[in-house]
Amino acid sequence: MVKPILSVKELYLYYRVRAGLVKAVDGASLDLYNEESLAVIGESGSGKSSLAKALLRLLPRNVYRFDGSVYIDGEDVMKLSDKDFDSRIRWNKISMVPQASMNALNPVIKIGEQLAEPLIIHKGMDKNEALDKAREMLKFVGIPQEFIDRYPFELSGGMRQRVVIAMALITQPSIVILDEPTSALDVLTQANIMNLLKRIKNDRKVSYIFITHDIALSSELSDKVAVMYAGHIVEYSYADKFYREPQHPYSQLLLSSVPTLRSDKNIRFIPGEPPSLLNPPPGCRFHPRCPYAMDICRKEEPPIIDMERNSYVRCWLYAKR
Amino acid sequence: MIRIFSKFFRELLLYKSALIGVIIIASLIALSLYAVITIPYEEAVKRWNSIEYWEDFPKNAMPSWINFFTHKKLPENIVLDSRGQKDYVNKTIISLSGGKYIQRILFTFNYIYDDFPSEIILRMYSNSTKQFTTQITWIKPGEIEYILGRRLLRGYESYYISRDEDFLKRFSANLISKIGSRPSYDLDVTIALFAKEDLSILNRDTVEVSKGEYRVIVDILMGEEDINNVQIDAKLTVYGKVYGIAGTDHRRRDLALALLWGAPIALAFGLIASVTITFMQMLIAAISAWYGKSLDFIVQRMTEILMVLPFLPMVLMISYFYKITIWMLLLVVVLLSIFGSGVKSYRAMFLQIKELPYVEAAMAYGASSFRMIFRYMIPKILPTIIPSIVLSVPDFVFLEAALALLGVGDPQAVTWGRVLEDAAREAALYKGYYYWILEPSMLLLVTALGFAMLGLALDKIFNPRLREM
Amino acid sequence: MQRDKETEFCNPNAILCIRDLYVWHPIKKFLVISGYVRALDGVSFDLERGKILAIVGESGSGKTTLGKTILRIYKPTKGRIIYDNRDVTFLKGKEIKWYRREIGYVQQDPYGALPPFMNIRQILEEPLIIHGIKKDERMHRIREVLEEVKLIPVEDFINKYPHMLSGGQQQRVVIARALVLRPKLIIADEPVSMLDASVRIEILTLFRELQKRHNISIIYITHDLSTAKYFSDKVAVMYAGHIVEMAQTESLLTKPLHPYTQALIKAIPDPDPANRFSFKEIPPGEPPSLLNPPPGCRFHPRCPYAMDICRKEEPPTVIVDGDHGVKCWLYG
Repeated sequence: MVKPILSVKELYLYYRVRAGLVKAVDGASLDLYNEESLAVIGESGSGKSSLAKALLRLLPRNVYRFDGSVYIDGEDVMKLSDKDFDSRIRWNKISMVPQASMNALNPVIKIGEQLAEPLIIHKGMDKNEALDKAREMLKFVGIPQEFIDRYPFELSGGMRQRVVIAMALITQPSIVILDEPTSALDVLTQANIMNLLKRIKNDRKVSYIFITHDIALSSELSDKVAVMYAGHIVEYSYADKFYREPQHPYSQLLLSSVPTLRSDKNIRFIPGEPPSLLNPPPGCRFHPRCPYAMDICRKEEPPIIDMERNSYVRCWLYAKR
Repeated sequence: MIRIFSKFFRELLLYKSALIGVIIIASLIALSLYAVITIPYEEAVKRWNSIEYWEDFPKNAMPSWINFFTHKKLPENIVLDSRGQKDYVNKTIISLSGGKYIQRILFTFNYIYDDFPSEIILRMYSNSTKQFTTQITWIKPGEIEYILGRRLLRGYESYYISRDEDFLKRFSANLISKIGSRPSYDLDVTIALFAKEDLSILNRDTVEVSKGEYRVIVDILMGEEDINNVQIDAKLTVYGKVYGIAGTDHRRRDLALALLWGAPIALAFGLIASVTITFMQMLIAAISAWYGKSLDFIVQRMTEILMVLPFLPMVLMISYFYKITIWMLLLVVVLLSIFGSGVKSYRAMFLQIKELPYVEAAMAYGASSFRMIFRYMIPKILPTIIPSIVLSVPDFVFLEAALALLGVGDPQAVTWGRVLEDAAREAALYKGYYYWILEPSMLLLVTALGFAMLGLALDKIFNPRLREM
Repeated sequence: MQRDKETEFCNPNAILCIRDLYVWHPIKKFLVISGYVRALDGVSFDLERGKILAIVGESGSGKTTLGKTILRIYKPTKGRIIYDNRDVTFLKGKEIKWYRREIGYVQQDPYGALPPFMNIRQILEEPLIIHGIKKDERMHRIREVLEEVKLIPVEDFINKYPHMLSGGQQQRVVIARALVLRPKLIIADEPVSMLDASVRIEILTLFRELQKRHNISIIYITHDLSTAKYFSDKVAVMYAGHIVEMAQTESLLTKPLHPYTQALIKAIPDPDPANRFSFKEIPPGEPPSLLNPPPGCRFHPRCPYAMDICRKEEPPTVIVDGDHGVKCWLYG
């Protein structure tokens, strides 16, 4: 039995705000195998970015609850101290391409130096060696090597994105979290970046957690899919099944609400708005918008119901009586 | 509208600095209201600049609460006036032979302090034009009696007892024969009239006040025809060394008046200057930013030129050529500050606001430039400038004080700055009159503190990014 | 082979007729003009009454500039904007006020598009006050328009401030504001891009209903070709300040002629799990600088079919098949 490279069990992340408690991640479980790509799909307020931050322990100051198990290479990294996590795990085993990456570059430091930084900090390399590796990396992501001495403002949006991706890969982690990596890019540039990410996956054998709100885009880079809604993973399935036969009503509605270029379909939209994480509705969080809501949905939160091949759904429709 | 304001107010008070600031400012406002209600402005100015009003006040007296902290109790001001029914005064008539009478006014008072008075003055009033001879006798505890002197009274006579050199000479001679030695220091009249007459009087360090009952007799010699027709009164003032809650200055003025009236003037000056200048600057910046091109160019260059001009020398020049009241000074300050650096920073903000989507939308549905500026741009910037209005109030309060210290501005104004100027000119620190400098300075500081703390809290509210700090 | 539309007259059926529109922004360094950003470089098209035209392009294509110029937020440098057979190209101030009443604007960012210090009633009242609508009529229209965008019960929303509403609700207010003067033409610039996917279609559907009910003509500016499919009658594709292709939506999507359009269509994914195994063939590079655009056809540096003439001369707009226009030497 091949073991997963990343195994998350019952991860919780709550944080406290003036108005109350935000349950950003409310018991998430997933597995990621070698060279596999897991797409995490959700809208704003679903908790998907919090999930990414939780995995990298980039927590806000007002954390209220943070527990669960996260096994990387068989080790539960939740048990590590912050210091150990920082030196051994973060950017060594698992790294991230953050949202709005293009603004994540320091405008007053040259590209080369920024790219070399993770090596200097996390691998203890000396500056020259790190810069050499940086040059290699630039070539790999398709940027001419002279750009090592340029500043971020001299690069176009697409190029900056490539630099940020390079920064996430330079320490050769086995898992890379991509948090909306193409959100502000043009369609053609987006396609080029997706091509790059696919190539990296094949050549470097990394595993991806690909977070996005764009369902169509998610299909470009997903072997497995996790759909998040209001802090829960409501469906966890494998790509071939998910896009053709989504199980959860939310997934179904989501897929039918996205206009497609190549096929004609009946467009349906989901009434209402995503719920607030401060005061989620009782019972199943999707019930106010669900066309199949039953009595029990209004009262009790549905449990995880296992389906075939390690997939699961959180929905009363699939509970066996 | 009121609901929004009270909700905002409650949120504001959650900040400790805001709480302190509001308390201070509320106290200042209360003080100002009290000043305005009890003594109207013209009256206050008149009083402050008069001489006669302060006649019976001691010169450079310290605040009377000093006595709580000192071992030696300093004398308070004692004013004994024979006009009106008082129990410390007794008027009698003594008839002499030959149709002559003596109108006798007897003052009695208790002196319980550890230190000598600063001055002693006796004033006598008659409502007749005739001239009368008077004799003044001083009786210390233990029935030690001295005849101070004879004076002639016609209408009004003021007898500066504590500067009577003749009496001093007589007293000294008397003392030497009584005690046998000469004092090692120069006596003055107040010591002569109040000290214990034993060996302790010989040394300045050991001289003691004779505590007890003192009597002063004023005898006026009159003829029969006058004794029932002429009204004679006297006022004995034994000037203390402490007075009131704030003490007095070199012109015997009760500092409490200036300190009290300084509050509304400081507040008015500071607030009017701050609000007017900020609003004018904002308006100029808005117009400059909105219309752009040549108007913007002209306004910006004008602003730059005016920013470079030295503010203080110009104010000084204007005040040397023209006599200005404090309100004229305010006008001058405002006019010179309108094209100031605020114009530049607000313009930068307006240039950003101009690019906001809702401004474009308003352009699309046809809003006029006027409407744009006043209804769309200014309300957006208002929350950010409110903290700076509050924070710049102390700047102007200090400016007025500083200008007063430099001798600029209204010489008749009743402000904290003027008090400081008097104190500085009279070398208060050198002479040890610390209270004279400290009282207005403290008030200025507290005012500045109040506005600064409130402004700081407001800044945190209106610029939420600062909340994390 | 037909020549450019430059010398053709406007279709009287068209509510909007744009001819040879140029918008060049001067770059000033200390009062000296050192160059121009050529945001729109000769754009021509017609919009028929009651129809929806989608303008599709990436950043720097000029689509936003086009929208804002039609709204007269930007000043045209050259060319003609003819609305309802009246020339509004260079009108200013009071002369153009009537035009502003006929044309509505829906913007991309709903939060920035609503002034945060005004409540919903005040926001909707502004255009009415500006155009002199009387008080009773104003409240009536505000209620009417809020009901139309389904922000009901109306009383619940009238006194709220923008930050109290969700993104979808805010965008409905923006649409309501565009409708309150009963315009005949609406420019919608990326009206749903900042909304969640599940909310987008709802808003677009609402928008389409309103359009049909009031027979409003719409110019729908977007970078998302897939929503254009569901929302527009015709599509114009823009690249670097030019319209490179324009046709009925169906024709454009089934038979794209311009290489850029073809690339766009290829680049847009549909939710298909097979996607993860294939690489898309996309022309490399980025859109050109508008300060110094390349000579000839602006797309030639990235075009897989570039010929010699493409590098030298700007291609003319050619009509192929009815009203399918394309600006490319392949068809010239």
